[in-house]
Amino acid sequence: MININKNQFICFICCIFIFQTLFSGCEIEKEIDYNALYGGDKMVIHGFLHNKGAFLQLNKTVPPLSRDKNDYISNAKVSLYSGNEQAVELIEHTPGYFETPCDFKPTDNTTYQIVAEAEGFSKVFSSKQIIMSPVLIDTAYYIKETPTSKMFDLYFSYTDPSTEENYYFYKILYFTEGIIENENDYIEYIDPFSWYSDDEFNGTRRTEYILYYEGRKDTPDIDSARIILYTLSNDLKKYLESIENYDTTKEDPFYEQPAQIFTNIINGYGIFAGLAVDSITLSLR
Amino acid sequence: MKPGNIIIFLLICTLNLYSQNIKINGYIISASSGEPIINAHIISNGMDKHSISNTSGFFSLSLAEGKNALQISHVAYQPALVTVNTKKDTAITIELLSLQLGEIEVYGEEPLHRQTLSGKISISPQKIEFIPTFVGEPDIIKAITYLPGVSGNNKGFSNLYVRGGDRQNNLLLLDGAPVYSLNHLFGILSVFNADIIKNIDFYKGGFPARYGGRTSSVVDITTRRGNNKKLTGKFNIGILKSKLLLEGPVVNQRTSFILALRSSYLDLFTLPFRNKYKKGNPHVNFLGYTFYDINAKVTREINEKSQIFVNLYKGTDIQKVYDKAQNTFQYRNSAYEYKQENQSATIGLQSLLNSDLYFNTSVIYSKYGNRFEMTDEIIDYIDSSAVIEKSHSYINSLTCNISFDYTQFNNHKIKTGGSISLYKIQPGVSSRKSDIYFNHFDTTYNVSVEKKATEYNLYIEDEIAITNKLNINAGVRLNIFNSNYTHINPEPRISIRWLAGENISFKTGYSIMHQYMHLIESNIQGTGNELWVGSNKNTPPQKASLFSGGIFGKISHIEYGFEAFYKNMENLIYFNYIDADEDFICKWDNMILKDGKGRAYGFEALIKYKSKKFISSLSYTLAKNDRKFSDYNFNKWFPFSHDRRHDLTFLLHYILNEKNTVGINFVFNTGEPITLPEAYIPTNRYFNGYLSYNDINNMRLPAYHRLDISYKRNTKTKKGRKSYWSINLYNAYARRNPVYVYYDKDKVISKSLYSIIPSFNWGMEF
Repeated sequence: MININKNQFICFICCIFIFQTLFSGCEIEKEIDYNALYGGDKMVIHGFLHNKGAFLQLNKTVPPLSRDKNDYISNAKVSLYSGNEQAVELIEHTPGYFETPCDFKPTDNTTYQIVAEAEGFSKVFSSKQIIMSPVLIDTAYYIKETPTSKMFDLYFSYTDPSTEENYYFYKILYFTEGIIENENDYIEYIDPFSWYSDDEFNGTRRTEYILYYEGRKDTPDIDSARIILYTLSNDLKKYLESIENYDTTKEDPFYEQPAQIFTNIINGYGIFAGLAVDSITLSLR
Repeated sequence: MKPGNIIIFLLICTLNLYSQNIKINGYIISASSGEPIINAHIISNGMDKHSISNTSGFFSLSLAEGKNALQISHVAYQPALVTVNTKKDTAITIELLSLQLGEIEVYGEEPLHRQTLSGKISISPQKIEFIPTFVGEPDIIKAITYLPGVSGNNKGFSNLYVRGGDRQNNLLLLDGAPVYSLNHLFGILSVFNADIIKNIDFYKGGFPARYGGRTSSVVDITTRRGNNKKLTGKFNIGILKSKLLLEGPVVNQRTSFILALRSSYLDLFTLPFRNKYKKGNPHVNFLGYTFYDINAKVTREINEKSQIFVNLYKGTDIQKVYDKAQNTFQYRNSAYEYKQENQSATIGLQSLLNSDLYFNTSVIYSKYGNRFEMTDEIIDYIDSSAVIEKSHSYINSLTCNISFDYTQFNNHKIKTGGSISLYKIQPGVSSRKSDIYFNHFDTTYNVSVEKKATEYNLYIEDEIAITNKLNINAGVRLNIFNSNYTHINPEPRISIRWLAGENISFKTGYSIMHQYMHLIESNIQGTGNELWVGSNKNTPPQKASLFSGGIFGKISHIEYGFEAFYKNMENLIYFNYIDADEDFICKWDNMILKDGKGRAYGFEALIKYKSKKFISSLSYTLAKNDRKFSDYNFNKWFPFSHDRRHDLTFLLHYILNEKNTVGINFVFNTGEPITLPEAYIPTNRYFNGYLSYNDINNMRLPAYHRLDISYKRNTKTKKGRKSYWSINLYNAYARRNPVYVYYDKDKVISKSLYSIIPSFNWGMEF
C-alpha cells in the first residue's frame, strides 16, 4: 500500500479540486452530418382547390444542408383528377406555378385530387378534396374619427355555419387609386399565425374588427379596402397549425422534439387543400 | 382446461399436503443494533425447508418434530447455525453478527434460480456503497440502472426506465409511502438517503399482486428502525452535500429512533451575492440552489409479537435566480424561484396474531408539490412595468393499508390485503398580475382546479410449492379508481419456477398492471416541471401486460440469469409542449395525447461472480422499445426516447484488505435517439421554407461509454472511532459523451457537458 503523510494527503485533495475545476466544466461540440438522411429528390406541392379551379406551386426537395440548390422541376405534368378520371391538366404559367385552364370550372359536391408526374420522380397524389362553399360576408363598414383622420375602424360580419367545425383566415387589402397599398400582404402569402377556429362562436354571427392607422404624414389616403374571408378545409387547418408550431419552435434549442409539418401528399411533401373565398370591397371615401 | 381452472386444481392438490408439523417462527435481528434483518435465509437441515425473513425480520418454518438444525445467512452478516429441539410450536429470536471489514458473505443472498419471482432483485445498501457515483454519494436509483432491463439517463441524472417504460411508470415506496419525484439537484442525486435504508426490493417483472398503481417496476424501500442498544451516529462531508445520521434507544430498548439529515451547501458559494442583493446593491445577479432531506423514524416494540412505528420524510429543492441591473436610463429587477417538495408520514403496526398469521397495517400521508414564482420589474425614464407570475401544483394522498401473511398450510405462503387511497390532485394554480406602462394595463388572472379521486385495491397472492421443484406465485389484484368516472380493472399475476436441477431453474411470469396517476412533464429540456394528474373519463389508465421467461442458475461462484421479455403498453400519454396554452391546467386532458401504444421486447443477461475478496457483475440488455400515437409522427411507430439497443454494465468491487477497497464501474450503451430533418422544403409563393422531420427519433447520438473508479480507505481516529475517506473519479478516462444537440444556423451540433469529475468524501462513525 502507498503510504502518504498528512501534507501529501492535503496536497492530493487540493489537486483533486483543481483538477475538477479545470476539467468538469469543459464542453465539447461536434457537428453532426445529417445529409445522409436525405432520401433523394421528391416532389413538393403547395396548392389549393376552390370553386373556380385549382392552382399550385410545384418544387422539389433539397438536402437540408444545401438549401440554395435549384428546386425547379422541368417537364412536370400536373393533373386534376375526379375519381379515377383526369378532369383537367393544369397549365404551367410561370416556372413551377400551375393553374387550371380558365374555361374549367369544378363541379360542386365532387371530390378532386392532384396527381403530378415528372421524369426521375415518383408519381405523387394528394388526398381527395371537396369544393367548399364560401362563408359570405354579409356586412362591412368603417368608422372614422374625423373625415380627415388617417385612423379608422373597419368592421365586417359573417354567419358561421353551425353544422360543422370551421376555420377561417382573412386579409384586408388597401387601395389608393386602384393600387394596393399594403403590398406585402398580397394574397399569395398565407400567414400561418392568423387562422382561427369557430370554437367560441360556432353557429352564430361574427363581427371582426380591424384598426387601421397610418402614421406617416406623406402617405396618400386610402380610398378603398378589400376584405377577403377564406374558409379553410380541415387539411389546410392542420397544415397551418403544424407550420405555426414549427415557426414557434424552430429557433428554440430547448424543445425536445421538433414540430412535424402535416402533409396530405402521398410520395411527396406539401399540401393541396380545399379553400373557399368570399370578398367585399369597401369604399372609404 | 382453462388457465384459471388449472390454478384452482393445483391449489386444491397442494392443500392436501397439509400435515401436523411443528411450526418454528420468530425474528432475525442484528446482534449489534437490534435491527430486524430483512431477506435473511433460514434453511433447515437437508435444505428441504426454506424461509426468508420479511420486512420485520419475521420468518416461519414448518419442521418435523424433534431435533432440527437451521442455517441462517444474510449478505451483510456472519452466517449462523442454530439447533432447535421442538415438540410443539416454538417462537425464537436469532441474533446475527455483522461482517468484519474486508469480508464478503458469499452465500448470504437467495440465489436467483431459487426465487419464484423472475423479476425480483433484492439490493442491500452495503452493495450500493461501493459503486462509484457522480459525486461520491451512494445512489440507489443509479445502482438499479446498472441491472439488466433497466436504463438510466446518459446525462448523469437519477431516472429509471424499466423494460420499455417511462420514468413515471415506476412505483417508488419508502416504507410503503409513494414517492412521486426521485430527484435532487436536477437529478444529480436521488432523494433516497442510503444511510437510512435497510433493504431495497426491486421488481421489474413477475409482479406480486400486492403491488399496483404503476406499469413498469416497483422499488420497495424499507428503512432501518435504528439501533435499540446504544446511541450511535455518523457523518459524511462531500463536495456537494453533507449528511448526519443519529440512531439509538429511547428510554429503554423497546423504543428506538433513527434520524438522517442531508443538505447541500451550494448556496454558501453565492452568499456574498445574496447579501449584496438584500442590501440593495444595484448590480447583482446570482444563481442559488439548495436541497435538503430529513428522514426520521421511531419504532416501539409493544410486546414480543407487535411493534408500531412512525416514519417521517421530507425532501426539498429550491432553485433561485436573481438579476438586478441599473444604468442611467433603466432599472431592472428580476427574481425567479422554483421549489419542489416530497413529504410523507407513515404510522404502521406489525403484529404476529398467531403462529400462522402475520398482520400489517399502516396509514400513509404523502405529498408532492412544486411552486414557481417570478417577478420582473422594469422602470425607465418614460414607462414602468411589473409582472408577477405564480403557479403551483401538487398531489396529496392518504392511504390506509391492511395486509395478512398466512402460513397455516405447509406449502402455501398466502398474502392478502387491501387499501383505500384518497387523492387530492391539483395540476396547477396559476396567477399572473401585470401592471404595464402608466395606463395600468392589468392582466390579472387566476386558475385553480383541484380534483379528488378515490382508489380501492384488494389482492390475494399465494406462493405455492407444488412439488420440491415446481413453485408458483399466483395472485390477482382488483383496482377500483374513481374520479369523475369509475375504472374497474382486475389484474392477474403469475410467476412459475421449475427447478430443473440443484443449481438451475426455468422461470416464466405474466402480469397486467394499470396506472391511474399520470405524470405530465414539459418536454422543454431543463425546466423539469412535473404535474401529476389522475385518470378520468377521457383519460383512461395506462396499461401494461408483461410476459417474461428465462433460465437461471449457478456454477460454483458464478451466478447467471438469461431472460427474454415482451411488454405491451396501452393508453400511454404524451404531452407536446407546443400544444399547451395558459388554459393547460384546466384542459390538460384535451391537450395531451393519450391513445399511445408501446411495445418493448428484449433479452437480458446477468452474470455475477462472488468470492471472499471481490464481487463483480456483468449486465447486458438487447432491447427494442417503440411508441405510437394517432396524432403524432403521422401515426407511425417510432423509437422511444430512451430506447437503447445495447446496454452493458460491468461492476467490480474489490477488497484489497481490511482498510482499502476499490470499486470500478464501466457503462456502455447505444446513443440516445434524436430527430434530425431528412429534407428541406424550399420557400414557395404561399409559405416560407421549412425542414421536414418525417420520422421522430430517426438518428442516434454516438455510443455512450464511461468508466468510474472509486477508492475507499477505512481508518480509525485516535479515539478509536471508525472513519473513512473516499475518492471517486466519474468518467475516469474523460470520454466526451454527447448529451444533447442544438441547431446553429444550418448546422446541428452535439454537445457534451462534462469530462472527468473527481470528488472526495470524508466520514466518521461515533
